[in-house]
Amino acid sequence: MSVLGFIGQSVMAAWIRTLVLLLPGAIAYGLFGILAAFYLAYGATGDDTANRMITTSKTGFSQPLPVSHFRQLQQIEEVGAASIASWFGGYYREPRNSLHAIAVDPISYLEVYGDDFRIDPTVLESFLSDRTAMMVGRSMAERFGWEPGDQVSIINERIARADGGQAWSFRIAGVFEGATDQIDTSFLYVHHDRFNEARASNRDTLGWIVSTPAPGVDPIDMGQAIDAFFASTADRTTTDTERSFSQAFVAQFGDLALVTLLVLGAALVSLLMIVASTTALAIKRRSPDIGILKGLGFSHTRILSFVIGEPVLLVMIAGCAGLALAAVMISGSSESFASIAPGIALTPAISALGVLSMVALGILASVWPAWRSVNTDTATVLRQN
Amino acid sequence: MMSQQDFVTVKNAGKTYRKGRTEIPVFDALNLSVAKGAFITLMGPSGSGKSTLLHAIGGLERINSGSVSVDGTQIDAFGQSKLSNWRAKTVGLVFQSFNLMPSLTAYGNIELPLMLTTLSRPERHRRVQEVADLVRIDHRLKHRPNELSGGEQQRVAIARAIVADPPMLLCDEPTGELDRATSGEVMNILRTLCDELDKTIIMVTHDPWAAAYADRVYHFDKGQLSVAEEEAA
Repeated sequence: MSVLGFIGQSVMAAWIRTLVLLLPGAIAYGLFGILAAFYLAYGATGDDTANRMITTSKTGFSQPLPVSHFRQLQQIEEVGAASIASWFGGYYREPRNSLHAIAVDPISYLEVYGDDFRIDPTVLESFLSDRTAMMVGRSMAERFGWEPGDQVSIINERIARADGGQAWSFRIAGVFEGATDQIDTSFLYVHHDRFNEARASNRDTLGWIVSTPAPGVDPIDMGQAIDAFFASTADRTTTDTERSFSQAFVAQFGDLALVTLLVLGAALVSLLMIVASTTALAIKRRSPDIGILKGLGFSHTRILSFVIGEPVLLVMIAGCAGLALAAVMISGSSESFASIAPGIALTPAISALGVLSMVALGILASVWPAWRSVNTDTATVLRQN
Repeated sequence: MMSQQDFVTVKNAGKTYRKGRTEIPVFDALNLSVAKGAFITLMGPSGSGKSTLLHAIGGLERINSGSVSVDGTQIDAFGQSKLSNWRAKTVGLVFQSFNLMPSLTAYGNIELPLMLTTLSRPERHRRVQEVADLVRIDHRLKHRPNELSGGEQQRVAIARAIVADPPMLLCDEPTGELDRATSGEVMNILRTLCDELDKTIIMVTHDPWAAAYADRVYHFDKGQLSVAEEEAA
């Protein structure tokens, strides 16, 4: 009989206790996987290595800036390339199909973001030549089954058209791909000019300006130069890294996300405490077995390896099952999370962290009761049996 | 001085238990010698110290003074790790309440001491089968303790005690929970182990009938040890 065989027989003999440990353990690590994936993907659009800086109104992200700011910003010495964008949003057919839609100035925007995407020249040409066209990311196109040439109506209840309507009709010029698998494509682009002209309010404003520094200029220095430039205007600005901007952007949904995180986090901690207390109780009940092993001449180290190995093994079985379940659930619902947690996935890093925490939980839950049991007087335990 | 044949030597052993601030003496200046291959019994009223002495000889409990030597090795000076290692090689334990692992089958229980050896799996299997045959429990090896009768459980415990071939068996009331017929079977097995395999056996019992299987009976009373009158006579 090997150590694993010994542990296995012990586990199978107490199958009810094993189930009590496995079930909450699997649920806890399922939650852990989903939470960790959500946390990592939450607001993860934006790449700090790309040197892109985002300029928004100092008053707040939702406050528009005048279009004139864009022209003035382009004159600042530290600025290299720049472009504008506004949040369009809306939904397709039903409110639950919310869209990550951005109105952009296509040519300047692609100067700044072109390296992030692979766009077929015919698709680009089709998009640039038609102001009622939109260009859709691969992930979003697959989500809704859209094909180039399809006419799509987007309902936008927050941004009304000048004619009073809420439906915005677009022709799909084509589909673009991310330059790498890590780049999110669960969104679409429309023309800023058309959006600006057709909307009922806030005309000649923009949502944000994205810029890259001139050669040799640090992006942070560029940001400070931009903000200093507009400091004495009525519409002061704040310029930050793209990642900070993205996180501030998704923070619009932040309250809901925070509540979800807190509730699930509390559930996770509760379940882990159940696992820990079940483990500790199980070890306490095995004191007679530990006494027998000591009587037979098993060393403390060897007994501790049995006693601690068992909960560690159980937590790992439960945890891996939970993580596998989380992976399936995340994979099946990644598109639902696309707007607030793009590219959500159970990454190898999350899995590794999960496995490490399983080992830590198994050891932490068992080391103290195991140590106490092992150090109980052998003769006393054997007499009590 | 230890004679050539003495396997166990207890010299001037003293033991006290501490209960709060009170020290409770169990025995003092106690001496005992057991020859190799002998079968002795310790009898006496409850609390007289016979089990404590048995545990001290088996390295399960430490004495406060004096010394305990087994096969020429003074064990009371051993550290915990060395004592465990020594016990695994030298001592087989048999208890009144069998002390079997409920999660393991009879086979698994018997095999336990062999986990501390370097024997191959086939060799372990051979040894388990051999001792199971010897104590006539080979037909119940796949059963767990709760599926066995008291006598069967004690046979498993004896098989476990001898599977690693220790030279000494320490038995604490091995027939305490068995009926007379089953007790007879167990005592016959212990007698056979002494006679045919040259095991040194020290047994604690309250039962004069079981004690009669031993070569020598010692009486424990008020911390003192004496050879039973009929034998001394």
